[in-house]
Amino acid sequence: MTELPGWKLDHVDAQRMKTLALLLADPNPIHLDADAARRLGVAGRPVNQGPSTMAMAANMLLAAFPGARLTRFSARLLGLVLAGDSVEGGGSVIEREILDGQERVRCQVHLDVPGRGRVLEGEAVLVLPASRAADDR
Amino acid sequence: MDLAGHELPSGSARLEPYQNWLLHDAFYSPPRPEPHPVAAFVLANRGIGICMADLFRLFGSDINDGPLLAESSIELHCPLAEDADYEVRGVIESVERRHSRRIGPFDRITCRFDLLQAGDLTATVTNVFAIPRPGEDGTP
Repeated sequence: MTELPGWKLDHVDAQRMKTLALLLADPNPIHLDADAARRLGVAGRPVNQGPSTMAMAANMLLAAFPGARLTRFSARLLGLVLAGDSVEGGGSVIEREILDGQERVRCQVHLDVPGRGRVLEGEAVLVLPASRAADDR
Repeated sequence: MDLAGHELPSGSARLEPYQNWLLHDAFYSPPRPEPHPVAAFVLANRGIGICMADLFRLFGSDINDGPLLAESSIELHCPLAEDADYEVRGVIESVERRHSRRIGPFDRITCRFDLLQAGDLTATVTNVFAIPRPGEDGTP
């Protein structure tokens, strides 16, 4: 089993959540308004959208396999990521196979918020670029 | 109302180049012409023919109560493209009553969204929402 390189995002940005709320057409106030998140007893800061947390894990995978194409990604969202948090990630390759002449890797991934624990666990499949697959052989 | 099997109204979505740029930036990803793989989630969410507030109303919930996504799965059958039109179809696949020590009884509602381009399936997004059912006897 090959460990993926460690990954870190230093600062989760509330402004990006607002942009994403517009792109998602998602009016859930906990992503926009710290007061709403506090009033609902969710958190004292805006809550990062689930797909944004998933995107962080996808970014980690695409950094580990430059030029690869992510074809499948399943994630369980286990905890909240809040504005101002840092996020750390890791994972491992659990399977490699050649299918239709393309090398595919199946990976387990996780993301943690230091001090609060695990926020995402998931599994992904990536198709490696032809040159990368040849290099690896 | 039994929600399992309920088909959601279909709709369409398109990721304009400037939206693709903004989405990469919002996802902490260097902007590039190829959409981020999680853009499939965004296209599904925006393109299905029911707004999120009405979807949660259908679930018997309220989006202003801050519902959260519990799980999501994205399958990309072929790469996404900016400036392309996608038809979005959706169905509520299942509703399961569960019980949690933290939130009490809740429904685990699974929705599947298919993105089609020119009739071909491009991506499938499956989202699981945990909808609290306070006061309902949900203990299995």
